[in-house]
Amino acid sequence: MRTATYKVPGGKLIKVKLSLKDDRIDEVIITGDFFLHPEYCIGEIESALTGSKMDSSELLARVDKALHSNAAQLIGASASDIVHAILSAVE
Amino acid sequence: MIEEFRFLDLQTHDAFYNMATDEAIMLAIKDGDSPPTLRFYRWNPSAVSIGTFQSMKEEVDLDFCEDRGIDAIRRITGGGAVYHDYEGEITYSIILPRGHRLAPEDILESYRVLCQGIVKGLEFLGIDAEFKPINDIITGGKKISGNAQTRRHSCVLQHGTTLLDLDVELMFSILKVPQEKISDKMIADVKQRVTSIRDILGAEVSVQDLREALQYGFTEGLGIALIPGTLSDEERTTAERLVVDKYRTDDWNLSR
Repeated sequence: MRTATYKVPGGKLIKVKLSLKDDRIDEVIITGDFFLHPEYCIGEIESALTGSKMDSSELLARVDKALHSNAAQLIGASASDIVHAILSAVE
Repeated sequence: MIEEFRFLDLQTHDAFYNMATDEAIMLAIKDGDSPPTLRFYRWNPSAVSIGTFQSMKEEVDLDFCEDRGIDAIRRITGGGAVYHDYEGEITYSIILPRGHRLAPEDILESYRVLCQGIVKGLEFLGIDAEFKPINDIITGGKKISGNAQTRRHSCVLQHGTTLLDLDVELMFSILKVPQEKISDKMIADVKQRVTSIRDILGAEVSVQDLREALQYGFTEGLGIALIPGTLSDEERTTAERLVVDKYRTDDWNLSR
């Protein structure tokens, strides 16, 4: 598993653990001290990211879609911050 | 007329029953069986709670906790890891139906509103404190209270801790504090970031003094009347079930 930790400036901490298969996300776990309402949406974000290329616009589109379809709100972090953390894990 | 809240005055339970009680109250309010509720509680054994998105094994030194008899539990709220020392803090929970005037839909605004209970309570003790978004209360630039919120079961739950005392060495032994978080705040020493009531006012402030201050603070800060009450039989039964089925399980506590 590749890991990364990203402290959002003025916000919370995001940690990711991920594994790749054929250059796509095979599994990703996002942890941290941020807030996400509703909380179950974290699983939806992780599922949405599975299969994604490590491309910032694709990653962002998948996170945004999971957030929107659950009318979810991230607090102390943004969708872009999650993408930043994911990309850091493979740098 | 001033709105009445059920008030469950300071009680001591273990981590599992404490967290189960919060959820049991939410479920009862959802069913229309219980009124808006404020509760104060302590943790015995002392315990560490982690945010719902945190990894228990990454955040908490579980071997150390086991050696010292400290419980470890995952909350249903986001936010960070908190050490709840039996002698060193009081935790509160406030549980309201969605749409209540004290729980605006805007989440940051609702923190600001509900945190007035703590701000006023600290003021009662002579401490000038203020809400600092996202979820902290600070005095003299240092955190003295942390709070966390969830919205589920048709309710808003906010719970939080107010530090009476702070044992930094013990806290660092329990928590695995990430370097990134410390360096971002550009202050390596947690004593520069966190304070406690006894740091400010001296050792003579008791748990009961804080309890009294918080009761005053929530009454004044939220403009409510606190009516002493108890958990219903149904809430107690639900809490006991949640202890066994959820809060004591590795499936829950070690899920991330």
